[in-house]
Amino acid sequence: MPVKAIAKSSIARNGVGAYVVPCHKISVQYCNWGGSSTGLRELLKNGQLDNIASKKKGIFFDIFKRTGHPKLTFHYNNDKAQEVEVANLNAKEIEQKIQEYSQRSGAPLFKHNHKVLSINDSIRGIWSPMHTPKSHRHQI
Amino acid sequence: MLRSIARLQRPVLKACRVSVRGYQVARLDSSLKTKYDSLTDYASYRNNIFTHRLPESTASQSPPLVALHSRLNLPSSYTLSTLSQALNLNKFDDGLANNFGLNTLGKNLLSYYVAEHLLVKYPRLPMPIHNGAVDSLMGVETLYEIGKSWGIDVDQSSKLEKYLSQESEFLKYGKLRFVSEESKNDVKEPGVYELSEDEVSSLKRNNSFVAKEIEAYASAVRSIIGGLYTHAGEEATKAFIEDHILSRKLPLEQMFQFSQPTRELIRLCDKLNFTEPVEIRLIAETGRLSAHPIYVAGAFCGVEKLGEGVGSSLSEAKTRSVVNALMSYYLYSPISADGTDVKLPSDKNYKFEGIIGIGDVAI
Amino acid sequence: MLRNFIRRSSTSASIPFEPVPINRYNQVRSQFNFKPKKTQGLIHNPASAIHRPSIKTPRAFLPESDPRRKLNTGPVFTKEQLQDYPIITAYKPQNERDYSVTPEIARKIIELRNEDPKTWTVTKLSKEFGLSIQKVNVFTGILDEHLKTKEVSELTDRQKKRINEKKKRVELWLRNEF
Repeated sequence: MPVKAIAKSSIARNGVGAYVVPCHKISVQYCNWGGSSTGLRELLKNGQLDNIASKKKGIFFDIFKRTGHPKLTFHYNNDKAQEVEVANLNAKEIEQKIQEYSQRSGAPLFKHNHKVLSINDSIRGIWSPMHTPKSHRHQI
Repeated sequence: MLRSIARLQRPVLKACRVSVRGYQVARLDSSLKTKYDSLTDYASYRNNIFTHRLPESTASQSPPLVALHSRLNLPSSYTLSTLSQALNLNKFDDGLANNFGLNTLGKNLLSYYVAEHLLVKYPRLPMPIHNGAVDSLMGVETLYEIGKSWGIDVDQSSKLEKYLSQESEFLKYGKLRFVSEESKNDVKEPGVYELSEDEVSSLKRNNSFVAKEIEAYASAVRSIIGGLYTHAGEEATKAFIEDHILSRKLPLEQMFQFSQPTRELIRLCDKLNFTEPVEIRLIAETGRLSAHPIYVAGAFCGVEKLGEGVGSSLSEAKTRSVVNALMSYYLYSPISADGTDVKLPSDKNYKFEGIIGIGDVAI
Repeated sequence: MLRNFIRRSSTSASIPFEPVPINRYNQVRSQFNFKPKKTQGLIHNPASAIHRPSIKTPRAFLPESDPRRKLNTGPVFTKEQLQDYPIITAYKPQNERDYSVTPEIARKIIELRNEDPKTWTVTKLSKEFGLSIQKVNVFTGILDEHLKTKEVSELTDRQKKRINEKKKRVELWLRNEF
């Protein structure tokens, strides 16, 4: 065989073609008695969480009662789970937390201000001094 | 082992031929209790195992299932019960229909569209690279990754655990079910993974190990595609495969491993009927006495430059230029007359453009 | 739209070749570093880099039906220009290759070599039969002999390491990796 293949897996590009929301499950833990859960209880009682869930159809909301401070756990498709404490937060603040974390990818936050990250090759290649035309080369 | 036995026995049993099975033979799955009138009357084949489909009303009460349906943007004609069936690999638990058929259907659809895409877009890929590219797009590992990215969870808790944690029985219909009820009760040691019988046999057969979970995810992804075909037809399936599988980045440039590139390039030029000699020329260098000399070599055929390579020695630059030339031949991708992508045979108003590869180069 | 426009205009040969932006920047001394003055319209400014094989197919490999054959992309070499580039190795085309060596000649070379390797050296054999040294080497199997005589156990650890490293580097060349 003249050429052999090296096994390589193709690389996912979420958003090229289809986009699948990375956050697929949100566990909402609340306490029926504790004061720190007041905001979350209100969110559950007045049907606001229903509204959020009906807007975010791709996310499975798992709501359960447990003693202790209330907690949101966001499960992402890279097998990461992010826990967010929502003790003593009011309904609006909790809603903001849900909005914020449900839009994340699960990867650690990274400041993209001075780095270029790409899985694609540069279209003009890597510059080399040997490839500038002879008339324009740097001369010592 | 079979072969060696056959060789040993040949002098003794001169008259009879010892057959060695070298290919896969389809066999009936005895656990399906298939009955038929006559062996060749395929229409009379009936499975006597009792299965039923999940009622739509039950399926719609499973939140992970509904969420998965909407996350994948599946059409409303795609019933939730089919989606739930696509996630079920268990043959005997609950008596629910499993995804065996959907998996086969999905696999065929996938291999058709992936092969079509690769053959039209990269008509000159050598056979091993083509096969590698197919694996890269729809291999078990890739499909496992896709299944994970779709947020499919595995149903791992036993009936008792579900009862104790007051978990709704509908939840499991939206989860991947491949662990049998008995093995759920097995005590698991963290960090220790016991191989199942299938896994051990696959390890013996081709010295590669595919975990049951990986295979299960891949099967679920294929089945979801198969289910889409049954409910929404071919157009929608094609769009789905393009969006989820063909949109992935294929690292073709990293998949070539040449053994004798110079010889291969010369044979290739012979095959293309080039009448000029193949010459490797030195294009530039930093100077042989420089601290770290760099050479740029080019592979030429007559006045046409086929490829270029840099290296810290003449032989490195030469080899790289030849490898580059070969890759630029193999990775050719045709465009249509108006500069757009070439149409695929399954597209509307298909007209043949591009080329058909002339086959592999033999060295 | 834009792509089509560029494609249409790039077919005409009137695009000026501008390998580096025209400006008043002094390349030698990096003095007078003014902003470059852009040329209006399309210019042909080829990348000063090696083309990735997946991005550009050389013209010789483009099939007859390909529309890119008609574009003037990249400089075309003339025979005179190629004279500036010294040949490292050249391989004859199919119709000019020499296939005159018969099995009898090959057998004779092997025979002579086996009889008395000291008198029938490779150079002598090549002169006798009018063949290149490489060809005689192939028949006599001298390359194999060399490899066999130098046993791996004879090599020092350092030599072994160097050989292994070289092997790994060559693997990288063959994969077009750095």
